Amino acid sequence: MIGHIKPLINLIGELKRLPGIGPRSAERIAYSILDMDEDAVASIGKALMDAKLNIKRCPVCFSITDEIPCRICKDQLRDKSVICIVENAKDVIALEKAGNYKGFYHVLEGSLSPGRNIGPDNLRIKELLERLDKGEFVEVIIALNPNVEGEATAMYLNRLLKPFSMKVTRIAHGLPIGGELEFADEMTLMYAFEDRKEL
Amino acid sequence: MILKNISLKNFTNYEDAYCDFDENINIFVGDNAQGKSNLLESIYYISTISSSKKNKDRELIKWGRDYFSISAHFFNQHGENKVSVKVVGNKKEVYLNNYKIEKRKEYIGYLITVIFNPEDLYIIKGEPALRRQYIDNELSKTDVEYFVDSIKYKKVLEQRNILLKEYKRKKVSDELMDIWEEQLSKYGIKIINKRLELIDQLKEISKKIHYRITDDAENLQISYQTNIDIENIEDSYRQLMKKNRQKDIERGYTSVGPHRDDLEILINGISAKKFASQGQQRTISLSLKISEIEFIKRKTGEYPILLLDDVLSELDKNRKHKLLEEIENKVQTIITTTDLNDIENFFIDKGKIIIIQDGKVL
Repeated sequence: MIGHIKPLINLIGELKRLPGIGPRSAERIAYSILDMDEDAVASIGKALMDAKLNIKRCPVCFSITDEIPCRICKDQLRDKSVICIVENAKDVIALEKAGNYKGFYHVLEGSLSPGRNIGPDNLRIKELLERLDKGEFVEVIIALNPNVEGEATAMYLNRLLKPFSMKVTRIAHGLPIGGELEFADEMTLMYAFEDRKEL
Repeated sequence: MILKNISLKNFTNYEDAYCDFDENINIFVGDNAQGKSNLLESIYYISTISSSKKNKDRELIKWGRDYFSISAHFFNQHGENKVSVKVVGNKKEVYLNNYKIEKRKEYIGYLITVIFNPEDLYIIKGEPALRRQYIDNELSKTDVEYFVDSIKYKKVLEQRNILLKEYKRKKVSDELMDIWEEQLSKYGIKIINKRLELIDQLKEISKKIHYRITDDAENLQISYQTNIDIENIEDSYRQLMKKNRQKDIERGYTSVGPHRDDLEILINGISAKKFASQGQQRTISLSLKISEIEFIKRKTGEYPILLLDDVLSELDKNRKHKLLEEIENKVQTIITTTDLNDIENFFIDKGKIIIIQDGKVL
């Protein structure tokens, strides 16, 4: 009976800590690990530890990195006049994949949410203000998620940034590229209209 | 809108069922606990992709099975459509004309139903929350923006309430309070404006209908009740929230906004909640439901489908006649009853009788 196999119970328990992994998936993954070669399992274990030990927060922009400061913050060729504020390191990676933005980033490590006990002091806002004070930035681009927490955070930042007399912009909401108009939902269309621009 | 047919698998007490509908009146007949209301619920479910009784999806799966599915064919002004939904555990998949629907808001307005059941009496008799729910239901069925804004409003409200409680324990910066109040008023104002627009139309529609149903005996007046000055809503809302901040901090909840508003219902100038008889209240709820149907027609250009769950037995002969006059040859209607004697012959003559027994459509 499974209840007596301690290491298996342990493994399932640990896997369940991962996001999106429920009891069922944890069990399935655990059994497939049991079926793997020892080498393969060792290499999963090593990859987990390697990632944990070698990936750090960049002390400048708070994105994730394996060098300090990170490659983006180090890059002398990037545009020193723009800084883009995002919630998570994942967002930096997404924007970098898009590739057209050449400025710097600042990761807040979350968004304001009293419900999850996240206030301004839990975000990298103090560090942001210090950077803006010292840097040569002339434009701040706010690229937070379009949910209520992201909107509240954007509004809070907008107020804080007023004294800096910089240009503060936010990225547009709108139609996905390649999407046909008729398949877009009404809300997306409405935002797309509000954010329209001159040709 | 016309519902052509529906098929169910493992939904509540149905294992495998199929039902065709007449485009006028349909009557489900059967003893108690055979599945009439469940079949009606499946129609409501396929129109909103949620339960009318706030049941969790998994609670609708037949006992001992691991999924349920519903699919339906219907006509609306854009032509024939097919919708299907399958619920497996906590996962739900919805397809409209073979395109996957990712979010509920993408499906709003395709198939609209209005359900009328004996508990609707509490729209008049009950707490303000039930009247707000009546308003919210009506707007959410036809207005995607309202649907999305009210979800966002609830989220921001929750955040502000948590912040209020936190404020009491330790100092929270006033700037932070400002931000959440600004967000709250942004969505709150949009919601109140939409509700005012609705009530503006609904008060005329419902007055006319109620006069018709009561043979000009009763003057029905409805109005939106809020302590925000609606002539100057932008400023008034924000000022009132600021003014109440200290009080709200002490109480730990937000005292101003659409979540506290009410619908006042007067009959011949006096409060229907306090002074109308049970029979009068029942008639008012009938008028409000028919008004909802007319409002949807005005807004979308077509009539929704009316679902009458066990209500005909509660109305007298005269009221039943009036109801029939309002819906005849316009609104596809689906009625449940335990006893055909409760339904006047004029309904039966025009209707298709569908017998329900032990989770089967006979």
